[in-house]
Amino acid sequence: MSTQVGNSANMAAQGAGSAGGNKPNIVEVRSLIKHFHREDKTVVPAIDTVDLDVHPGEFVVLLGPSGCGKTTLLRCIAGLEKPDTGSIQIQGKKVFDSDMGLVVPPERRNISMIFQSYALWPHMSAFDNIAYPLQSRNVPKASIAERVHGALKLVGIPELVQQYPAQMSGGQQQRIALARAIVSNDDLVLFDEPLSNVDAKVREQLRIELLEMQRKLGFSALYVTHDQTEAMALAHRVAIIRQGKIVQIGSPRDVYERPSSRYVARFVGTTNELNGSVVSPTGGDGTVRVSTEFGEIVAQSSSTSFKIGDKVAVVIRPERCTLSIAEPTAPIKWSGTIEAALFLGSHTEHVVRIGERTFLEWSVGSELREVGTRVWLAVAPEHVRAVTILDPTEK
Amino acid sequence: MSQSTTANNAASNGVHGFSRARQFRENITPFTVLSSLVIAFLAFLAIYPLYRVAVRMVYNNGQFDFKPLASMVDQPGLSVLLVNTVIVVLISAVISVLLGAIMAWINERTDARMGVVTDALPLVPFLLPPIAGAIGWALLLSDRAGLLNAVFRWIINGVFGTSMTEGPLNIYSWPGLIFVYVIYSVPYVYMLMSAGLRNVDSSLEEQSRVCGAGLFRTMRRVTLPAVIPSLGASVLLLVWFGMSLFSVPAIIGQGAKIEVLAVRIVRLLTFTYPADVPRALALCLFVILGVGTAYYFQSRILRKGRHATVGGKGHKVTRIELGPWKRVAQSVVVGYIVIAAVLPMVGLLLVALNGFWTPNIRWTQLTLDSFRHVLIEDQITKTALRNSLMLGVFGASIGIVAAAILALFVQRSGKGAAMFIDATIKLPAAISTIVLAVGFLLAFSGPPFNLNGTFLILLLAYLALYMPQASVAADAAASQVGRELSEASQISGASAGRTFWKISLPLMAAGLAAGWALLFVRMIGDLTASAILAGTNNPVVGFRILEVFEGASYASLAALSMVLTLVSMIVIVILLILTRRRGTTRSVRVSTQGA
Ligand SMILES: Nc1ncnc2c1ncn2[C@@H]1O[C@H](COP(=O)(O)OP(=O)(O)O)[C@@H](O)[C@H]1O
Ligand SMILES: [Mg+2]
Repeated sequence: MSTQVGNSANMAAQGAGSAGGNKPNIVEVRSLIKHFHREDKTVVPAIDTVDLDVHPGEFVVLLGPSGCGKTTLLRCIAGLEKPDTGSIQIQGKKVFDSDMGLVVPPERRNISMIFQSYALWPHMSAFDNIAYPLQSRNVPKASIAERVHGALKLVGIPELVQQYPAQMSGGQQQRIALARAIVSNDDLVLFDEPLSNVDAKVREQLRIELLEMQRKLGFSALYVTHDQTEAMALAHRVAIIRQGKIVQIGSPRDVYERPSSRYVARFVGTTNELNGSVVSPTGGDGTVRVSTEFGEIVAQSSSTSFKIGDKVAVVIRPERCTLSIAEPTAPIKWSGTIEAALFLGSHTEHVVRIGERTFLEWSVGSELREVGTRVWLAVAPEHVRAVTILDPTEK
Repeated sequence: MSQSTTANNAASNGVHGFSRARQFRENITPFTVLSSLVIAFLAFLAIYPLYRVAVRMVYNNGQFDFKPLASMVDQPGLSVLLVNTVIVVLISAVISVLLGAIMAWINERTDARMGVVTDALPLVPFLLPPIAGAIGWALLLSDRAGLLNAVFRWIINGVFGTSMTEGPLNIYSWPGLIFVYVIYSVPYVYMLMSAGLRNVDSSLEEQSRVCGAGLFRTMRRVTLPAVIPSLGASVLLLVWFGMSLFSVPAIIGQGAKIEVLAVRIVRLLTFTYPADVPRALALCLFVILGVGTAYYFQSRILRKGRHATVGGKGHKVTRIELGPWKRVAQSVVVGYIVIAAVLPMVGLLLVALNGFWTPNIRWTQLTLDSFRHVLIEDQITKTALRNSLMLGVFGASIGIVAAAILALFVQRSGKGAAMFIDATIKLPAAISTIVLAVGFLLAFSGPPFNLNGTFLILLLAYLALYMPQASVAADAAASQVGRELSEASQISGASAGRTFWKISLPLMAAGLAAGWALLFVRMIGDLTASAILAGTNNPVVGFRILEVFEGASYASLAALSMVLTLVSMIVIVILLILTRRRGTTRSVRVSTQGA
């Protein structure tokens, strides 16, 4: 085990940053489509033309609201669900290809998976649960005990080896499931909302341990969640999914600071928004002029293909706003009144009414202002972004 | 991106054929082959005999032969036979539905519910196999020698100073015959009606009562319409059961000189030489017609109504307080159990211990002689017992594992083909067990199989006959095992076979054990297939009981029936203890439902 850990740690170092050199991608999903037929005969496009790569040692998070198709995508990669068309390659080996009529069953894909329900086998002890993948893969008996104990130590509960799942707490069950997933040293581990069933404290703790373990062992992880904090904390790259489509993929910082759409901007954080339309196309400096209810604004453009007249949203993060009594010199500023002021522990929040709109402002370590105070709200031009509106019907 | 995909496609087109072949090999594992074989075999066992019945109706020995169809009208005493069957089946169905529904209502909706009794009631036919029950009641209520009649006479003569020597009751009569049919029909109604009532939210009833309707008005306007589907299903099940029931009319009907279809079919095939196949087949057609008619009416009921069957969980059940009527309600339920199970067992035991059948029991001279006779001395009975036990063990084990494989297959593939196969395997037994048994005689006793008079033909027949029950038990067990548990095993690299043996089967174990016990009891007490397929070369207990009955040695008869009852009871009681401890009574309830 120890040598393999060493190997994968190298891979991790290499994989996390670059696109993986000449190593093959761990996962390559191409043009994947999957429809479900409901009982009432309606057709649900659960996965809609998805392309996705996972590099060696990389932690990729699939983030999206409930019902957007995250689980289905994961299950297709695991082989538990058969897609309609497209192809899936795992470690350079085709495991699904609709053109070739190729479907490799899950047990031949050499991957591990942690289910939302943990799926621990109630009739087996912790030891037997964890040993099972090794036995199934014909690992010599002699080394099984050693590896199971190694895995149990790694997840921090070596004393539970003879316990049965029914005798464990939720967090402990979660750790056994984790041990079962890593014991066979697979290069790819799939996670389906593994932390959604444990309480907040344990969740935070497990998240940190999981992250440590992934970076240490170096497996590639594909992780499904609807919790954006979890996604940000864990991911090398986050893929944001909407109605079966990946609408943006990038580092957590990327998707947070440079969202390509209002949907993404809203999903990964809190936004202040203005509706507007493009008045001049994206220039060489990557900015675009947008006409809004507050006049024309020069915003960072999220797309080079904006045309004059396109409807866009201008989004600004609350923590990028600053308040002042005196009029600032910054080019983008509006005057308004404080409508509410809240102390939230780590930061303060001001709700500022500007014309018909309210803006949020967050800052760390500043005094609360009195309600009714007239203030100026300013924001640096590089933090004002014009993004596409994917769902114009949404408020 | 799109360009490289196109390139990929072009490349892959070149290796098209090769990949197909490879994929084929990769997905076929020994286990999928095994389960396909098992399923194909079950389908063959179910369909082939029925196919032979259909063919034999019009074709025999290489030429068309319409004798069976012609025999539909050309049968001695046909109209009496049909009228008898209709009367027995319908009247017993009506009474059973009333009784069963009342008891279900008492247990589900009132405060007269009794825990153990509730669990035991549906198990009556398993605790005391119908053949033993029929004999027990014959011993209790026959005209002169009936033990219970003797007690009644003693009371009556004592009170009125009369000197009755026979009666007052006679089991060998129309009421007697219907009475025993009812005893064995009530549990089916009880099961279905309880399930139906559990699905009706009692807040609907409360609503009605709040609106000022009285208890009876509420029952008529709210409760009754809601359970109409269950009522329909009960009647269908009773018609199906009654048309094929052989043991009760063979014992009671014979003495009362009331012949029904099932008895005539068996007589034409086994007690007539040479067997009169065409006439028997013609009668099979009548059985199919009868059951078909019941199906038709049931589907009409289901289609017509918008029933308030509220699905889902967590209904609140408010129990009606019966007050002084509570004792009455409870004695109805207890009375049924005493009549259906306790009294006949007492009758059997007394006659067996007394050494011969007489109303004057020699209390001081009871012996175990007749038990020794059937268990040790009588070679044929010993063989029959051994055969039945072996058939029970093998049949129940094979049946329940096969049913588990089928259940998982259907659960995994879900729709279309899988459901069709599932229905195909269960259909023939659902049409009529006696017709299926006749089909086995046609299909396997002659060439090319030549299984006549063998252990194997009985084993195969039992498997086909009791597969619906095994399936219901296995389906219930499979549905309790979460899908993710077997998926986690697949992901861990386990083959389908390993997943089945290591994960699915152990997790289904409790439910399957319950199913096994019920199958075992059915098989050792079987008379439907045995009456047609067993013989002196391959005797089984049910068949031997019939033979001894014909020979009129009642102490042996009682002893043998008692042995059969004891074995059944022990298995069922062990089952109850095991499932109660594991808290899986629910799955037992569900699995008796298919019975
Ligand atoms: N077996 C199924 N049959 C029909 N529809 C399904 C099935 N599984 C998922 N769906 C539908 O597909 C969509 C995506 O589901 P899922 O992948 O589970 O979403 P998520 O994991 O993102 O919450 C949902 O609309 C869901 O209702
Ligand atoms: Mg999900």
